[in-house]
Amino acid sequence: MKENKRISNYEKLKEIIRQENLKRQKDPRIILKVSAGTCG
Amino acid sequence: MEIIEALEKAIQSKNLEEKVALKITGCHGFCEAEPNIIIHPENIFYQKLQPKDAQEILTKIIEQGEIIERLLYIDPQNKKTYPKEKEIPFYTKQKRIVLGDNALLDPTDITDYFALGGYSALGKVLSTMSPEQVIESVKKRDFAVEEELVSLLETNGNLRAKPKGK
Repeated sequence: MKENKRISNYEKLKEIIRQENLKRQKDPRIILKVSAGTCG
Repeated sequence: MEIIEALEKAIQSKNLEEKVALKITGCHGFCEAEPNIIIHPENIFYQKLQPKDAQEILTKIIEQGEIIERLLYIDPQNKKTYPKEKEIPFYTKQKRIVLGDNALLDPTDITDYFALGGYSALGKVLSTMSPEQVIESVKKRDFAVEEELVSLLETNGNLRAKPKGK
């Protein structure tokens, strides 16, 4: 049961990653990436 | 920073919110060229910006599709001009690892990190591997994230390249 939940959480994480990546790939806007000038 | 405020104002004054997004990222690793900007998806690199450049950047590259020569990087060694960040010798001679994603994401936006595969290795370790497997993986220097994620991330040229080791 606990093992299943762990795997399920991992699948959820992978889906979030996939969705966020896809969202950015589909974003038609030009992105201006400005350095905040901080080293972290 | 003044350049950020100037770009925000320029985007608003030209009603370009639907065409242009401003993202404040971590350090681009090139302090000498600060403040600088990378324009995606073309990967155009403008350096040593001043607030007065903001309007021109938006007019030229967004509305006219033109590059502003005076803001491009000129290599002090070979005197060549490099429009693209990826081609600048300072970057091509190094491989940033620990801080390699700095220029790609807003450090205050966790979804930016997810989009780069953030936490996938941790998720894999905690969910699918035994302690012994983790130790073996470290011994083999096998830090690669899931193949499917690597493949997904590689489809976007703005994102990092496939990690070595698998």
